[in-house]
Amino acid sequence: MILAVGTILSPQAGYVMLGLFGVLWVALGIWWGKRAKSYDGFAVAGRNVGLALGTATAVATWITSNTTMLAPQFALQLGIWGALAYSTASFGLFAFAPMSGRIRQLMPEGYTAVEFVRKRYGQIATVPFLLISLFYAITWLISMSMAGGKLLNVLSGIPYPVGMTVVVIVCVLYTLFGGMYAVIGTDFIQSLIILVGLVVVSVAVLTQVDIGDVHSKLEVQRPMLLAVFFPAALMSLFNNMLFGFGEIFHSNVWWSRAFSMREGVGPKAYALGGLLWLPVPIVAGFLGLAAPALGIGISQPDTVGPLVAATLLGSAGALLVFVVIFCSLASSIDSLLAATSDLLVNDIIEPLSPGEMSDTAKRRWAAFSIIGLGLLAWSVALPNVGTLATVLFFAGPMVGSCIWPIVGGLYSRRASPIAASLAMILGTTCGLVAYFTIGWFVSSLIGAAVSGIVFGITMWIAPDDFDFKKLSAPPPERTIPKPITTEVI
Amino acid sequence: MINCRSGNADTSRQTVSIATVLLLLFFFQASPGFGQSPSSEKTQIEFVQKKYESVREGYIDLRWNAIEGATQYEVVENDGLVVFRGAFPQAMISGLANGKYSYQVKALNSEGELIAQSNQPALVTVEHWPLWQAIGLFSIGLIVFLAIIFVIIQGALATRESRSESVTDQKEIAE
Repeated sequence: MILAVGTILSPQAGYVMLGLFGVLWVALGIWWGKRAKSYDGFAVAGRNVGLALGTATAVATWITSNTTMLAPQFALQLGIWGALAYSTASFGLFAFAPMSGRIRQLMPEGYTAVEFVRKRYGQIATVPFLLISLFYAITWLISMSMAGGKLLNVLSGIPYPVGMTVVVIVCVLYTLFGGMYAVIGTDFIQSLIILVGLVVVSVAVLTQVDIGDVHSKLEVQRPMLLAVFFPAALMSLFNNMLFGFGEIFHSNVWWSRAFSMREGVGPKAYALGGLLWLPVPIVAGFLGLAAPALGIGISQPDTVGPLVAATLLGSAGALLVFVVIFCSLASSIDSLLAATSDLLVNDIIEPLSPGEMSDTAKRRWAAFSIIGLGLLAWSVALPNVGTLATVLFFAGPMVGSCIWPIVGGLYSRRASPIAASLAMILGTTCGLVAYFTIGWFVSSLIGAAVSGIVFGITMWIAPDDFDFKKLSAPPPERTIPKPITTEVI
Repeated sequence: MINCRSGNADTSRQTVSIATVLLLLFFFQASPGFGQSPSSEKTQIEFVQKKYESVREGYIDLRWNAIEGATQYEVVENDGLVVFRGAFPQAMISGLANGKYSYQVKALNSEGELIAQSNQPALVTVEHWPLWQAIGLFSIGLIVFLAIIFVIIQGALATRESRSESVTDQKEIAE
């Protein structure tokens, strides 16, 4: 039996790595930030992102700390089905691929998902959608900040509050300086580091672990982890897939990338991103399955992946895991900070401000929003309450209930404001009831199913006849600032 | 001190009394809760939750109080199988089939010596969700998934057709 006692890296090594990567990301943020000469450049990278950067940013953003930390937890809790369930989140990227093209075509000058809902459905549906978007973005940000603190603590013994604080500060700083240019630029480097690191970790782990031995031990000691008819795991399969759909379809993180990419790039970039992402949770999930068979004691389930890899591979493995997860954390936190600040500026601050907002004022408000979001995430993550899953999956029914209003709104003229609003409200309500009465592993599924039924029936009873040209028209009272830079990054 | 009654002062009885006192003292020192020896601390481990009834997902999170000087904890299942070895006073046990389980925890120091153990086990009853419910929700999920994909594919194809038509129209106008 392998004993995972204490930390694998020394706190000094942890601090050195943290310092090195922190300085690197902030320096790159400042460098890329020089390109963001207008708000358009800062918010949507001049709408000129190509295929390589587009694919890299999709992969890096979707390989979050949750992929590397929650996928093994899923496997540890729900067995083989759990690992497969997590990998179904890549279907969200495949499904969003054609949608991203449609979004770019319908709203060539758009900034946010909330803007789409406001123009498509009016204020009535904007309120629940905005609340859901903010709630989800903030819970994701908090869960990611918590993951940073936990990872550093498990791997190197750096106290949770210190590690979490440094991770949040570094991400806030480089997003603040570079906006979407910095986010997409760092995402490219981070995605390369993550993918190479994961391949090396998986090969190294597979050379040390006998899969047949893991299987036979699990069969005897933990039979349900291999069972085909594992009830909770069966229920979680489509729940996780629909949670992924809801996350991607509604979140401004993905919409802002669709707006940032050159026309025609989005569908290819998202499809390629999905393909590259698909095997990652399966590999990460194997680490979770291997833990009980190898006798590695797991105290906090969301740290099982890093702990198993680091225990098996020693200090070098721990360093690699540290780098991979630090990159995956940073690539998601920066995306969230940038996309949510866009949402705050465009959908809350600008509509509330009197008169037209200048580019400079929008840039300033974006900076305030990024700092404010960072502070909020830090203060909520500080007490370290709950696991990543419990924090994030609470948002599951809410995002699940947004799937139909978004898909219907993009493709059907008949999708009406009342149908979208009722679908979101009733889907969220029923999903939350399921969350508390059955569990997190059915809440998104119930949310999406109820929302779909309500959306379909209401659309049939009270159809709309929407003119999609309205989506590309700028608001009559405002003019949209044109980008100063059209440089290809 | 039943043997230390006043008025019974002969030597032999005194000797017996002193021996008894010493024996009692030794007994108290060796007994859990009275002395300072390592074995006496075995009763100090208490599970935060001692009973888990109707666990539906087959996994539990066992927690207990931390023991000073412990560098490793071991959680032992019913039949003596060690299911957890780790440094923290918390263990995640998963993959349990339907049935009843009992867990004990031991604390070891850096030399691997036992310095404390739980006096009461944590009792777990696993009762998974009914299969009909799982298959029902699985089927609903499949239907929702297929419906979403259908709408997206149909929408994307219709959009492509309308775009190609508008491009053809524009070409014709230009010509």
